[in-house]
Amino acid sequence: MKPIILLPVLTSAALLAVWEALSASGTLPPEIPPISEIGRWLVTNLDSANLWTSIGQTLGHWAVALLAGVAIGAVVGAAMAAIPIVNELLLGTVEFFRPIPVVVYLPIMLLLLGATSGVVVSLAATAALWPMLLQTFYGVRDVDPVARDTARVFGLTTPQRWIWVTAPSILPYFSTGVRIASTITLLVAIALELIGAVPGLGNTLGTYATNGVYEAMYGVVVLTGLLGVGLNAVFERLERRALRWHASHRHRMT
Amino acid sequence: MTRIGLRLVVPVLLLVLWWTTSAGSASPFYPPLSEVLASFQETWLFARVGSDVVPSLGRLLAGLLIACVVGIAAGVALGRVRVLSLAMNPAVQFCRSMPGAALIPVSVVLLGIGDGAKIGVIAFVCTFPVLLNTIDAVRGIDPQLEDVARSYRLTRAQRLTSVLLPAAAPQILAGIRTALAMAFIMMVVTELYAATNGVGFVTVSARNSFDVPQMWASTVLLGLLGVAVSALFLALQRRVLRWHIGMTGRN
Repeated sequence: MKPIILLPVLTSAALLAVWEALSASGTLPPEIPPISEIGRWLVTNLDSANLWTSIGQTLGHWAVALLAGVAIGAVVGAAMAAIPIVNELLLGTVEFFRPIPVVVYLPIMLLLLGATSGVVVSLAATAALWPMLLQTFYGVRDVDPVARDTARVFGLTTPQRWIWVTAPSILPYFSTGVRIASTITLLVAIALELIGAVPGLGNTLGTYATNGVYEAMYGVVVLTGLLGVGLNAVFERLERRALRWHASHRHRMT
Repeated sequence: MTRIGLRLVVPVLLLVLWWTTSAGSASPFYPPLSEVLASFQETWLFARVGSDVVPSLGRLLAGLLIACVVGIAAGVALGRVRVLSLAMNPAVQFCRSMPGAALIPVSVVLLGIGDGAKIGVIAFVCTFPVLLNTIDAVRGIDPQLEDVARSYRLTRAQRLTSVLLPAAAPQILAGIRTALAMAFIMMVVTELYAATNGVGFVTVSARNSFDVPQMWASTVLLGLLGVAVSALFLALQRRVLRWHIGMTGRN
């Protein structure tokens, strides 16, 4: 049991030590500061109000965009899967717009709306929309026909069938969709803040980079990484909790 | 026939809507579609294809290729050697969850605003989907397949090239598809951030010189490129995996 925990910890520590040594000995260019300096910057700035404000702004963009993207994606995806005519009408459009990354629209949006949170939120929501739409679509399509027919035979009404049959069986697809959408939304929000100079972690990072405050720049990069890992962990935990009855999670119970 | 007709209704409606709402538009930021199309023809058919579209796509391909080579090689190693994957897991997980765009300022500081920095960022970001899918694919190979290969006395190299990699190919290609989408995003973002050529660069310089129709035209071109690149890859994937589709009867 012990080596399984020790091995990753020791290797990671060794990698960091190599970085520190290379940087201290001057092998790495001065633009890559030693890891200890980045750590020191992080520790001293952990109580800085500015840093927390930009984290808050980024999380705000992320939350609103994710909520909007998930809601629209789920509704449109379910409609496309359940109603054939809606599917026929929207399929071509969805297939066309889905491969276009949202950053493509950024210059135009900046022109129309200026460097505002609205630009970040609407574009990040668009990015979150596609995985949600697809996941919900496949989820509704994959409802077990026997379960659906049984429910109909037992005389469940349409709303009852949605609540007791369709909703539980699309939940695994839905939660995977939310997890993917959350990661994408965070990435897109930070990218848009960086290029569009919209207040948030991305913009903070860009400012430090242009001013040559490298230990702060890497500090913010580390923070964005931690934010990504943290949000992913939260969603994985939520998913495990919401799906503990599902076959893919049941073995964890014992 | 009616199915295709129905599919075209919404796109045609959108285009008509764009044309009519923009036709008499007084806003300087929302030029008539006819002007956008004129600018598109002037700029992109084919005056700046060689000077901007080719460098953009070249960087995309170079970054993606590096990512595939590194990702598949490292993925096979990590997938086969349990100790290695255990040891590297924290580092891989951390690098994977780092937002790619956050690395652009770092790359510009280190490598400047030329091709190197852009290819570097694209390669770094794209390595992880390829790597993780390769690890998964290599681990998931049917052990019977390996036993057969071993009992036929295939050498290590033969097992790798004619058993391991083909068996892992479908999942690796799925990873490359994700990587391609990311590469396209990073291509655009790196050019919007700092560049001297490329489609993203033209978009930004059009904005800076208030050539609004050209900005819209470049946006349209980027959209079309995104669709084309993705369609091209799907066609390529179908060709490479012909044997797999035939075998499993699904796409």
